[in-house]
Amino acid sequence: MYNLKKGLNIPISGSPDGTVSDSTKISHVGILGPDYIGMKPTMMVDVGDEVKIGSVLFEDKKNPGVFFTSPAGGLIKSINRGEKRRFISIEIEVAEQENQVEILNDDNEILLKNLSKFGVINYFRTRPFNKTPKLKDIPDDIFVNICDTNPLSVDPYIYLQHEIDLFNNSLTKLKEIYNCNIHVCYQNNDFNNFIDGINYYNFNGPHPAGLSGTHIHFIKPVDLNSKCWYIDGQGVLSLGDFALNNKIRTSRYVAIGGPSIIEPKVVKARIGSDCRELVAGNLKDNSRLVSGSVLNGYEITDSLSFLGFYHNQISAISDEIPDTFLNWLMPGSKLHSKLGAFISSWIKPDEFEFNTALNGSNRGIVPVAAYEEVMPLNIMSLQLLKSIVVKDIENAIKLGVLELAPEDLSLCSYVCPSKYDYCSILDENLELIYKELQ
Amino acid sequence: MKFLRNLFDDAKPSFSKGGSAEKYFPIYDIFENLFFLSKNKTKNPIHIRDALDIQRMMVIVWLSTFPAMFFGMYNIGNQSLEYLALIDTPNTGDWHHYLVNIFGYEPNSFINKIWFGAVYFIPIYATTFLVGITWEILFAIIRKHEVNEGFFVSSVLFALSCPPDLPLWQAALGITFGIVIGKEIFGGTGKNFLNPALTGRAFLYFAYPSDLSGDKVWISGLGDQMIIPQGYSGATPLGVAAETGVPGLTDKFSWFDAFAGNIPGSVGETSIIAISIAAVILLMTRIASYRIMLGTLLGMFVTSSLFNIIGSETNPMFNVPFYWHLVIGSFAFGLVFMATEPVSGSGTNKGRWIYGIVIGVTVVLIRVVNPAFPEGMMLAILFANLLAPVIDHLVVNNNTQKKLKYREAL
Repeated sequence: MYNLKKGLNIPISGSPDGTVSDSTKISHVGILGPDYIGMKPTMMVDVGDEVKIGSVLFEDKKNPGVFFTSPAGGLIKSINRGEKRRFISIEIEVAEQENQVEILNDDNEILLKNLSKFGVINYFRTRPFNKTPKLKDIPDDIFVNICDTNPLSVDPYIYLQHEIDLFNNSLTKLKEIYNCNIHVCYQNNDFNNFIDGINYYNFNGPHPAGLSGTHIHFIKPVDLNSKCWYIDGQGVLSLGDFALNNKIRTSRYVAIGGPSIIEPKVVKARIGSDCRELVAGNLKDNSRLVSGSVLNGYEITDSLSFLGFYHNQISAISDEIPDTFLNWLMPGSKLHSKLGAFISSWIKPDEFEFNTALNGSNRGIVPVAAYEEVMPLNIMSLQLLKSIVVKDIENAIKLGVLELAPEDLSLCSYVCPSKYDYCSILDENLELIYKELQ
Repeated sequence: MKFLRNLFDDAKPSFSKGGSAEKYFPIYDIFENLFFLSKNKTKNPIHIRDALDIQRMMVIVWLSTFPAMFFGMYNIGNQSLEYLALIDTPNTGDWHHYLVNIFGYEPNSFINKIWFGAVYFIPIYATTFLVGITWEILFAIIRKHEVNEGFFVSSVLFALSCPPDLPLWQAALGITFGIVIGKEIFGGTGKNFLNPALTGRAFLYFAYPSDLSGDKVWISGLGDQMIIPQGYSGATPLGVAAETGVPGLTDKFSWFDAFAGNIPGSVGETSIIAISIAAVILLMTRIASYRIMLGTLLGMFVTSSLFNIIGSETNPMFNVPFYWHLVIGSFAFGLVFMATEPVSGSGTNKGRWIYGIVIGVTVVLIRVVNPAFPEGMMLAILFANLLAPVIDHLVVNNNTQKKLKYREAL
């Protein structure tokens, strides 16, 4: 049992409750390049091609042998590329009648091969570096995360418990094929579906208590040589369907919430759904729609309009910033802040209506003690942040940068009075470290 | 408000990229931010942000100096008018006279006292502010960084730490040294390792000791008049204590006088009540570190008590107890405003305790066993500023070593 004290639950309005409803009909799904760090695709389909569920779309040039497959049956509608032909997304128009390619996982050896062949292996990510696992890698530890403490998220156990048998069978299968330690981290105190051979840990406390990075840090911190993988509960379900039922799962539970959502809810949506279709009729005007959490997600734009592969939520906040005259003099009863510089810290409203205001401009780092207060990990936050800002990777490694994914630093970015974006900076540093190692 | 908004919106294109005044964007930026919340929006991957920014933070510190500032002005008038009445000369002997004379030299009037103090303090503050911000903007334009609101704090703290009689050209020189050498050559706010206000103050202290130390600079006009009645002294309590110890001290001042601020000294440092108000504001908003404040108090308490126990027949400072150390000199002012400056201080929570203790110990050491200068707070903080990176290095090293061992044990 881990009871974390430090951290911050951001009181943002528009949280969904746990009842699951069906999603609206989705006509377009997509796969997003930025979901997979360092991935370079070799395209195996063209615009206009017909695909089935599970048809290979592309291969990872940096990780040959690992494929990415279609989450739907239909037509390839477009392949979007950005600057320098960087792959952004591939869009599939969903057909009325969908078929799945044939999958036969007769024994464990074939199953292991098929995991890469059908892209199911990509539900795992490695720590350090947060990339998809290399072909033929076998992990020492797998961390299964059935917590979620992100703002506007729902406890994954609420929907996992309906498919708990599949979940447990999938864990048993994982144990069988990888023969490694499997650690399941949960937050719901009602969780009682323990099975033999798996380690269970209860994590309690404010965000980031529910992040895999936090779990790994406390249970078995990683270094350069660690072979540690992590996966969320929904990934385990997908793996289970694939390994036990020879089926590619096409749906995912998604929490839809935020101040700009009219009716917050949890839906069972298609993997890679077009987010605008998912919230159609449920979104206020002048809003920013975000795939993922407001602390770690990406804005839905025309080329990047699909639900992220690892995202369990869609958030929406107002994109209008009201004119505030002499803001520095106002008591600020409707503005949220971790420290006590606004009256809201004393009257403590239950919820705040957040918008997309940066609430300031970029300045040099002035280290008030806010970073330490939102960092429960045993990491010297200010020193780490400073070292990644100047890209001093040697020092950053010493301070524990390899244990982190961008989401682990999102609270530090949230509270930063100088308005730094440490998440993107961390990404650049990890990429740099990865390159130096090659 | 609408008019202002339109004004800024009209001017924006010429200051933005490609505009005719692109270079001067920092000037536009600071004025726009002064009136309106910036319209900057969040970007991937963090879509919401805490409401606190550097501007708000610095404005709170700046506002928290106001009680000390207004009491300081009152106190300048109080001390000086009393003295001028004593020597029966209603004339400060310089240009201040023309302004003071508007309300007169009546020593029992509250308005006269405040006005007298304002006539002395506001020119110092205005000079500091204008000269300082000129440097700040100059560097912002040349080095292409933004103007940091931290300057509002540096300038007011610098002005408050000066004696009331400071020549204005010295104020200009001091803040120049503080801003340029103490901050800008290292890259601006956030990258300085010395407290800029203190750096400027220390520069003046060593460059022009006759204007910043001794008995005659703490009461306006005392230096100019040359008539000092028998038994009258403009010495600060700290100066008195260094000469005659506690007996001499209690002879001239009551402890409560020193606590309330009814004593000669630098403009902002005398009233512990006014400084305590600031301390409460800074601690409640959690902008200042309570660890540094408590550490400093602890270090001072232990060291001064130790000296009390050791005792000395030749050095009267040995016997000054901690509650006198607290109220005399700039201890409280430095504790609340200067030691807690986050950039030049220690950046780890453990380090902040050590950093505070170092200041507390050093200030008493300088006050008691150093024969050269009676005041030690400024030097103690600058010394701790220099030591802060070392403290942090040790704390961080300790942490990484422990983690390494833990990992090896797994």
